[in-house]
Amino acid sequence: MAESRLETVDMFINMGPQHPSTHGVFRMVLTIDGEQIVDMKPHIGYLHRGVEKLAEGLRYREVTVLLDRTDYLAALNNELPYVMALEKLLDVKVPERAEYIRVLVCELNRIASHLMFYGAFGADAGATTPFMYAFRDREEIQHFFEAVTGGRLMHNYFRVGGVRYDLPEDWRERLTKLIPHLRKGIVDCERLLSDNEIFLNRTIGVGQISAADAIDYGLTGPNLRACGVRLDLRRDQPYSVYPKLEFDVPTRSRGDCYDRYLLRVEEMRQSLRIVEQCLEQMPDGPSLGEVPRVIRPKEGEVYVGTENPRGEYGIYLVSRGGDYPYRVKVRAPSFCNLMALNEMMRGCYIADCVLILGSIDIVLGEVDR
Amino acid sequence: MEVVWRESPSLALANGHGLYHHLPGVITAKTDYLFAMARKSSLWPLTFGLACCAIEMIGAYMAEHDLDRFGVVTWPSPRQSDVMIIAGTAVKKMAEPIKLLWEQMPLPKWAIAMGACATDGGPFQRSYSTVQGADQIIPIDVYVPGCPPRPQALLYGIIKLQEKIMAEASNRKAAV
Amino acid sequence: MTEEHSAHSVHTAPKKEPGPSLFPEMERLVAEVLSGIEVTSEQVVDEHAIIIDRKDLLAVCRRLKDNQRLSFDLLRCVSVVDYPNESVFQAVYHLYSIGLKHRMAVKTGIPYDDAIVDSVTSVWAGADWHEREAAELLGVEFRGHPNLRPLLLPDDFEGHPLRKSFKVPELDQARFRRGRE
Repeated sequence: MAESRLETVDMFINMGPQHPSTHGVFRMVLTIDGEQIVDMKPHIGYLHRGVEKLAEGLRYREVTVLLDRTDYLAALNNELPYVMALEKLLDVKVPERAEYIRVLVCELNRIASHLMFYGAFGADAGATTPFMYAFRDREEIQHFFEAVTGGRLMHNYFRVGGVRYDLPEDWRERLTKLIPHLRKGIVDCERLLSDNEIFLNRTIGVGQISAADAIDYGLTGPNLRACGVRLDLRRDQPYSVYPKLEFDVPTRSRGDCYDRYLLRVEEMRQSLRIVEQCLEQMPDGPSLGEVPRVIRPKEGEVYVGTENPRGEYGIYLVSRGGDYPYRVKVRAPSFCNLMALNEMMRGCYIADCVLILGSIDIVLGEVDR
Repeated sequence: MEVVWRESPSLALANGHGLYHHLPGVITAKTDYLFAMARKSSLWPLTFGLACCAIEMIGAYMAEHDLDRFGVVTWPSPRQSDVMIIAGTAVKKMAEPIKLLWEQMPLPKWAIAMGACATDGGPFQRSYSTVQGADQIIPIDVYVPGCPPRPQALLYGIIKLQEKIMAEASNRKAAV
Repeated sequence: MTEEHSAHSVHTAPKKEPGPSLFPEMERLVAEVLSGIEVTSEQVVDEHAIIIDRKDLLAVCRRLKDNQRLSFDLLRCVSVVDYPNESVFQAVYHLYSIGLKHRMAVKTGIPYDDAIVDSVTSVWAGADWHEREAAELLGVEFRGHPNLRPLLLPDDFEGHPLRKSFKVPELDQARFRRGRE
């Protein structure tokens, strides 16, 4: 033979849906060239529970139960846009104390969610100890939640016009104990990973995405801020009592895994600052405003987006009268963030793909809904 | 219980020389029992979280609740695991992979349905895309109620499973 | 889209009365940028919303994104709502400008008998999965979408569950009977 024909065939690697580090039931099919990822095809829907359809068959007050279970790491943050949307449709005024309670528990939930990210990300990078540290602190937050809302993970706490229960009698003591504990916990976390040589080598420059691409794909939250875009709906589209509170919106510039990690650690600090201010400024008064017994909003529609730990969690609520919502569309931040995964992974090594997936911090419950 | 703890003389008796009388104790029991005891003390669940319950399951493994002290250590591959904990909603699209994983696990194997969704569909029971309970896909041994169950509830479920394993060992003769 | 459809003015859920927007400045600015395109403003609680014909969708989105004074660079959400009484779907695009910190919604009607609309993935790449989801759950086709495969449901699923006409199958009663026996 004068000429031998050699054909190159792409090699595929399937990951998931059962894989210990896919953060749920996410499946991706990687096309690889040697050790490098050429292309990644995500497959989702392994947790598609039909929340939007179910919500159309529930009364307005009952929908929060389902929304809790979409982004299950930050259940309280999910209830907020929904009750805010309903309040806008009903034109209900929320007492100030209720607003403060909402912000307080939302920010604590943000810390709990970021701690979960921290633990899982450490595990993705090959360190199991951070998981233990993160859960030590997370449990403390959950104990506080249990005292306030009655639930550890699923709360169903926010109501139209306020919150279900007022804070427990000893909330100040509990919180004053919790805050230093968390502050120390964050320092511990940082000392464990942030300057760790192995961790630095594994994360810096891995999974980079440019700001322009990130915006194009609709990234929000820490993933976008890690690229240097200062978008935080708490500040840019102020809601609740956030305008009265002082906090920074940290940004990073590189947009790689390390920046996304460091940004979340910094966000925990800022959230803690907000919690402290809530503790100081908490006004007296009712925790539930004047609300009609039967919730039957007038015809109309509203879109409310709030800052979830993972980005913008939006609810598009359409009412056509009656007791049931006509359409509840959930704008899930992880759903949008996941779209950019291919962009981040292309050209990276196959060993880093778990790390990159971990760094965008998806929750499959809201990706699939 | 048919397990009998004996002082060392019985071993000495078996040995015929009395050489091992310094040993602390000896168990005489049926082999079924011994195997069951070994099995219940090292249950390795498949690392397999489906939804919200997985977070509480992780919580049970972590520092505060520490499932390791029951001999429960997660294992990422179905080939070497003993227990499958269905922690979350089983969706129709996921049913096939769950079944596949279950079939890949070697005998003896057990399954725990954790939470309302895995028990009967829970809050998503009326949905078009969920399976109404994991027992429609695979046989379940222990149901843990709650939405999601607390880590303590999962601990209790695992203890119940251990009891069940021991009970199975003593009932085997009756069953056959 | 055929010519006779564009001859009708705007497909929309007719129960909502078009009225003046609550955000006059935004309305003026948008009208200025979209001059030459038929635009109806709509009353929405907290943002400016416009209704356009679906044939203008791509042009409108491009202009809204590229115009310096609007620069809607972030597509927050694409929602499609089913209105069976009017035999129309309504696609709603929620836009946000990161630099200028303002927001608006663009709506367009898609009639049942010709459920096809231009894909906006060429304007915002982030529309990709939103449109795939809508195509799967509501059965609206997005023309020009690079990859309109099913996203969430199993391959053998039939029907479009988010349509109002889709009835959720009853629970498997046999299972409960089995339990009772």
